[in-house]
Amino acid sequence: MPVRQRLVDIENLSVSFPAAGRRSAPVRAVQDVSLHVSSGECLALVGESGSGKSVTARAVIGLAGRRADVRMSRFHIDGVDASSFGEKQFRQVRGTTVGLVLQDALVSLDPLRTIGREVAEPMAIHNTVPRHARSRAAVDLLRSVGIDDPEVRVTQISHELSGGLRQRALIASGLAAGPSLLIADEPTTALDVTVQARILALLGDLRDDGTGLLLISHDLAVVAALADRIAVMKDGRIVEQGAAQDILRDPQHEYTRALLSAAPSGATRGTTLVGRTPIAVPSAHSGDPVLVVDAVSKSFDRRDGSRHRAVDSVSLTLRQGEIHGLVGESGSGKSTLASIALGLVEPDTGTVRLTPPGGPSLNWNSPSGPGERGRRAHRSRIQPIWQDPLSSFDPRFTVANVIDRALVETGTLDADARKARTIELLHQVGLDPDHLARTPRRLSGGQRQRVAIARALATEPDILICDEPVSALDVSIQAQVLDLLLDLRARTGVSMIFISHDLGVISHVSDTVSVMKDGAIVERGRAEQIFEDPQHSYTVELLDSVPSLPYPVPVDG
Amino acid sequence: MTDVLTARRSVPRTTRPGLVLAAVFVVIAAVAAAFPTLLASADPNLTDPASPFAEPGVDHLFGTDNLGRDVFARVVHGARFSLLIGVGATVLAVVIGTALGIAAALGPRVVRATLLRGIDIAMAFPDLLLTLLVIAVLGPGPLNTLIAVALGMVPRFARVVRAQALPVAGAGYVTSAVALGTPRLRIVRLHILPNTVRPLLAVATVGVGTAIISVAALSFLGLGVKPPDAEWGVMLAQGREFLRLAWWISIFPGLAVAATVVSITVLGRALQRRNSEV
Repeated sequence: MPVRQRLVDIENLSVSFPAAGRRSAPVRAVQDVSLHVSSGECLALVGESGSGKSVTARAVIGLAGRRADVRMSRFHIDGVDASSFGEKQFRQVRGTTVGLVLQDALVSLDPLRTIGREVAEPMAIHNTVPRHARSRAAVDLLRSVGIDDPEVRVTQISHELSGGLRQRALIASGLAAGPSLLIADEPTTALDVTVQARILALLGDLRDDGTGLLLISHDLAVVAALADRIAVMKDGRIVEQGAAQDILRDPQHEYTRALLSAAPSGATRGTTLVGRTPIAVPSAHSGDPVLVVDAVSKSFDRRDGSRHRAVDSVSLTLRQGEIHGLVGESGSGKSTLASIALGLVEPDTGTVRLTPPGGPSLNWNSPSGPGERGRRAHRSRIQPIWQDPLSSFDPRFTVANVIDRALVETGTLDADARKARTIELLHQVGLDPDHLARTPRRLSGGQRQRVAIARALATEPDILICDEPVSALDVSIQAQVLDLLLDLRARTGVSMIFISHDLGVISHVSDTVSVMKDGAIVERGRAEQIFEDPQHSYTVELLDSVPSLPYPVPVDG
Repeated sequence: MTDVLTARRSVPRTTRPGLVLAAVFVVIAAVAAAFPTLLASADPNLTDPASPFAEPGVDHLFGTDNLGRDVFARVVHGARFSLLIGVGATVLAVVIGTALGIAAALGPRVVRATLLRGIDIAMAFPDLLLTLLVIAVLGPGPLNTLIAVALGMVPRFARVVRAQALPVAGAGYVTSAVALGTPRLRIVRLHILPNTVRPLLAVATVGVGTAIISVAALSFLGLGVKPPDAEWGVMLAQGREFLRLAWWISIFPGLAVAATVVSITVLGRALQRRNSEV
């Protein structure tokens, strides 16, 4: 094995930020972190939000922020002692020795500059490529990160490119001045799985060509394929660090084990994610239909005047007690279909019928349909749960107000009974009465989603339409919310349409699955059947793209 | 251990002295409007032929005017007209502007289009010109001044309310209310109105300042409050003839207008800043 140069070597890194208020203590974002990355090696820094992984990465290139107090006992960049580097020295290192690739390519690329200029800028700053050769070099660089038609792309600006292309352009820009180490902060988080797979493959190629990689992610499965070593961070500290296969196969720290076991997948069906206790799954698939979507289509006008078919003659049947997973990539029409099912958007053609238990089926939403006035009496039967709960709460309302509104609107209880019912609902979703007087703004992401679920349950619905309900949550919180939803289904027999881009989540919760692409359902069936024996080529591609853990997850006890 | 980057002390947020000064002045102006005799015991309309054009001094803090009336007493008593009409006009403008703005944002297509064009046309005229137009129709007088000044401000408020109501109407909590089956008018009352009007209050506070100027301007032109009533605009107009002889007759009411408007504007801006920080 060749002797590998340590590109970055840092020991006992601590970063703290001054206190926000007069009484609060300084925030210790990172404590005693030691790590090193060599050429041709990938170190993955994994942790949930607030674990300090991004601050650590930024401290490595002197970008922790002006207010940050950064200390360490040893700090070498490419063999040079960097512990006393000032802004000027860091500026020389950035781009040439250490490149940085950020998460959100739309924000990170200048909206007014062409991709070509964006990519050529590091060459200009560090004068690594003579002026006349830069545009040529930018084209070559874009080609090397797998962008087709690079000659055209260099003349475009960021919003003319798709998310995957933007992320590639950002990687190209990070590579432009030939750094030997690339720091990638959640480089695939906002991307669809198929695009994510391609970006990960590109990063893998770079590593194989000798670039050192510091990969930051919240998702162990994403880094599993790429990382040589993994460092798991929690609350600003590295709780476990070692060879990737050791960490994934035989995690020592309980937090690593919890992270691994909290990840939903087909293998976790029928059990809770926290604690892995069995959870009831309705065995029969013979329940009565509660919601029937029949040949529904919806088009929107594009800005350029053309028509865009968001939903293209989609039909599906949701049965009593069933969870129907709707999976697809961004722009596939999942959310439009959810809005049509909820009766918030009227379809151009087709019908949605709703069948209350024991009653006749009724026209719920169609072009000739009942209209909002006709729907209002049945609104309590079908309730939404959205990805961003905070925006679904009136900013002036407390938790108590939010749930009380739902009870007032759909029930006949008096004020005292509503209060008792509110507490009961909070208890049902695992919150205590202390939360009543708080505004949702002052709750954590998981607690907010619980309040949203409590509000949906307040109307005692037969159907929940869950549109990416766990996509904005950390994996451990996601596990709790998924457990809660499955537990509710087991107890109340509520049916759900569960929309997600995450196939792991879908295969964990769903009884039946529809795969959507370009507004149409390309494949549908029982969940096991779809995930084990996919028929449509798009389903196959989707499943192949999902990053997965290479070893069975160790379960405690 | 080595310090790589040293922390910079964060500046503790203090209340700015200008804000305190503005608040104090607004309180004084409010007291002058409500209980003028607390501040000035002299009768504002008592003429004293023996001492016209007395310079500011111990007997007459701000001096006397051409008829020997105490300028200080007149400035204090004049606060009532300026503030009452200024605040009243703003309140009226907010009410009408909110109604029009909400209708222009959420009404049927015809209503929306008509209101929007109407607002655009009205905004093409300066506020004061609109106000003069209304006075021309209604005739002069304190109550008509209030109505005219209010109508002059309506287009601006309606525009702000409409711009505010549009995103609120599309917000997640409005959709959630629809999904609960909340009737449309109740959604407007419970969610859209409160969340639209809250940011408007800061704009309205600044508007009070402009309204006071409009009131003074109308009176100055002889279209608002009629002499001999003490009103700042009236006093400015009357003192103008004697500006070279006795500067204090118009300077002090002028200062009162300026200080009131600046103070109210400073407070309004502070409110706006606080709103945008939340």
